[in-house]
This record gives sequence, structure tokens and C-alpha cells, in this order.
Amino acid sequence: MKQVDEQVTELLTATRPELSARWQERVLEKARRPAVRHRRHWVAIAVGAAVVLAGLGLIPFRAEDAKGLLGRAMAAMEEASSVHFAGYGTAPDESSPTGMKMMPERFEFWVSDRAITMRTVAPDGTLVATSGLNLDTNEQWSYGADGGIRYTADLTPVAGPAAVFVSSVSHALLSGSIGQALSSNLSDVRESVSTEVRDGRRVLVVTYAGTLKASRRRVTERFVLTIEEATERLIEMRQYAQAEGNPEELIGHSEVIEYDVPVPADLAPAGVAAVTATLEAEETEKVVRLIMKVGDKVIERAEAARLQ
Amino acid sequence: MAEPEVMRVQGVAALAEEQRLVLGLREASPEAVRELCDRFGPKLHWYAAARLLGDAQTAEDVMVEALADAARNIRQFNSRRSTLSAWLYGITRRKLRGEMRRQRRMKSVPVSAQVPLESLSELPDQQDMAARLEAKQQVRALAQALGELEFEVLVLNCIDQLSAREIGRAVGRSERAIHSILHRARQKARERLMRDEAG
Repeated sequence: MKQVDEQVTELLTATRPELSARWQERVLEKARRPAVRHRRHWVAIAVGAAVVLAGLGLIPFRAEDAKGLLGRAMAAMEEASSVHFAGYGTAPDESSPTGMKMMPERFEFWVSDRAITMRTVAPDGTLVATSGLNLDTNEQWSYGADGGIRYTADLTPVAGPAAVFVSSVSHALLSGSIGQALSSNLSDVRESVSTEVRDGRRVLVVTYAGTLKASRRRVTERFVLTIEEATERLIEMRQYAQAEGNPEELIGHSEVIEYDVPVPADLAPAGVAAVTATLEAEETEKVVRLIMKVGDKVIERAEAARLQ
Repeated sequence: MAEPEVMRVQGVAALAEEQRLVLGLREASPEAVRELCDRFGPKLHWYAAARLLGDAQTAEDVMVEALADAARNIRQFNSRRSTLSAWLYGITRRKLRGEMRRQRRMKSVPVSAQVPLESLSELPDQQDMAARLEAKQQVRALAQALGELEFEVLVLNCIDQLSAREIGRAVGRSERAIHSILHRARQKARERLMRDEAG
């Protein structure tokens, strides 16, 4: 058998290609970028983020389920300095044959390593809620139907954990946005990819379809993800559901996905009470807790799993 | 009796070297990244190119991504579970599978795999070229004759003399399974090579 190994090695040696002159520089350049965040943790989030996450029905991204193109789209998302998502999330709805419906409110979020801003707007254009945290302006705000408040707190002493918190929330928002398509909730998954030209740019349309496992009804789900071929960035995502014997329904739509755009500093309406607060951080092995106080009174707590 | 002792000492020295490199990478030292490149880049590229049947450019892209990922995520490396080498092959393998899946979906062969590797200005003499093309065809035939995993295991065994345990770590199989896969791969490869020689 040794002889076989030698023969194969000879063949592989004869066909061994040369490396380009710049390959090491390329490794160094890419290695300098921030680490790809660990994708297997669940992020516990307080403040407005939890509400938004629950409302959007987001789930954690599972690395083992990541399929080539979408894995790369996810990586491209993580490499961007900021991402802006806008569209309509999915909510449970027992009256629907699929048990799900598309929420009428339009969500929008912007995330970067330094800031998060989220808002939800009713179909009539009324602001339903907005919340955010900005490490550069030292501001945090949340505003809902009952009014809201804007805190200004010196975040410098807790900049490290606060950045971890922002990263965790950002990560949950981003990964959740495409995680559902990659989750193991579907069985008999069928995948397809086609190429189209949209607005003069070539896009790959990736479709995942399968049967929803944990459903009492027989429901099939279909995710249609549009990826810009040149940049490998996800630019649109649609989620459809179909109950047996019923027409297919659109139940989720991220219609805007933009990259490297500025994160709005504050979307709360004018006249929102502004309070100067203090922010403290507590770090344990597993979580980072941010505690906001006005005087001695704790007014908000936020908790996020540490990024590994 | 001296040989096992020498091997053991060499093993310990290699482990210490590896630990030093991992520490450097954890500190994000550019020198450590360069060392990582020097020590593992060419072999990983060779492995990727063999798996991609000679697509040198894509193989380089895959290797560059794999090494950069490894450097950035070095904290995920657990020396108790794997050697650095097996971990790196594992990362490269995952990237390769993604790339190969992408190519299958695109239903196209990369341009760089269809043309000879050498640029026209660097074209070697005709005899070398012919020998190289023939070798390339033989590798393709070998890859077709063997199953995907068998070809991969054989390539890893031949280009880097990885142990069955290390190959197992890289491809997610047990050491015993690797012995069996390697045995089958060698048998099929021998048959294929004998047919080439006879033809």
C-alpha cells in the first residue's frame, strides 16, 4: 500500500499549483478584521430589544445548519460596519390556517458595533415604539405607547461591557433575521438557487422550502433570500407559509437590507423626558449586566450573554 | 529502542512550538499570523487545490479565508481535543465544502479550473506541460474513481502525513473509520493507477 501512497503523492506533487505573491498579505489583512462572532449562544436581552426580538419571532442562528451561500451572507453582514433592516416580522396567529401571520407594523433596526436603534411603526404611520443605545453619544432611550424617556449616562467607565452588550444584541438581531431560514425547524428541505438581474445587478435567489416540524397543522414554509452576487450580501428576504389545502401566504418580509449606513442617533419624538443617569456594569463568567440608575433608583437593567 | 524516545521528544517539542504559536495568535501578534501562514498555508493550499481538482485561485481564496478565520477565532481552538493542524484542516474543509456546494449550485466550473495553471508568459517547455496535464487528468480520474471522502482522506494522508486520528478530527470521523476509509481508498487508487499504467 505504501507504493500507492507514493504514486498518489507523486501525482499530487506534479499538479501542485503555485501560490500568488500576495497571499500572506491577504491573510494578515483579513485576520485584522474583528472576529466572526460565535454563533451558538443565545442572547438574553432586556429593555426594548427583548420586546422587538419576541415580536419578530427571532431565533438563534445555528452554525451547524449554515449552508454555504447563507453562511457567507452572514459573514458579509458581520463584516459590515453597520446594517439596516426594515420590513415586516412574523407573529403567531391561531386564526390563520398556518398559525402565523405577517405583522402589520413595520419594524426597522440599525445596528453597528457602537449603537443599536430600533423602531416599530403602525400601518397608519404612527410611531409604536423606539429604543436604542449609542455608545458614542452616551444616550439610551425607549419610547412606547405610554411615552418614554431618554437617558444620558456617561458610558465611558463601562465602555467595554457596554460594547459587548451592543454586539450581543446586534448579533441576535442579525442572526435572527436569517437564522430562521437556516434553523432545523424544517424537514424534507429543498434548496435551489437561481440567478437574476435586478436593477442592473446580478443577484442569486436562494430558496429553502420544507415542512414545519413542530406544527400540529401540515404547514410548509418557504424562504426566498436574495443575495447580491458581487458582494455576497443578503439584500432581501421573504418568508412564506402554506397550510395544506390553502393558498401560500407571505408571513415575513425584510424588504430593505442595507450595509454601512449611519445608525440614527435618536428616533424618539421631540418632548420626550430627558434624564441624566448613571450606568454600572456587572460582569460574570457568562453574562454582562448593565444597570442604569437615577440617583439610587434602578430604572433599567439589561443583560446579555458574553460573546465567547 | 531509541527511536520511540526520539519521536516522543520530537512530539513534545512540536507541542511546545504549537502552544507558543497559539499564544502569539491569541495576542493577535502579526508575527504569529505570519508564522501560521508559513507553517500551514502552502499545505492547506495544496490540499484545497487537490480537492478542487486544480482550481488554484479558488484554493488560494479558501486557504486565505481559513487561515484568517483561524487567526481571528483562535480562542475556539482546544488543544485537548485536536492538534492545530487538524483544526486548520477542519476549517479549510468546511470552507471547501461551502465553495463546492456553491459551485454545484451555480452549475459551472470556475474558469481557473478550465485553463492551464501557468500564464502564457511563464509557460514551461512543452514536455513539462504535457506531463503536468497528464498528471492532472490522472488526479481527476482518481477523484472520480474514489468516493469524495475516500479521495479526501487519501489526499490528507499523502500531502501532510496526518495520522488517522488527526484526519478523523479534521473530517469528523473516528480513528477506526479513517483506517477503514483509507484502506478502501488505497485499494481503489491502486486499481485505478494500474489501469492507467496498462492503458
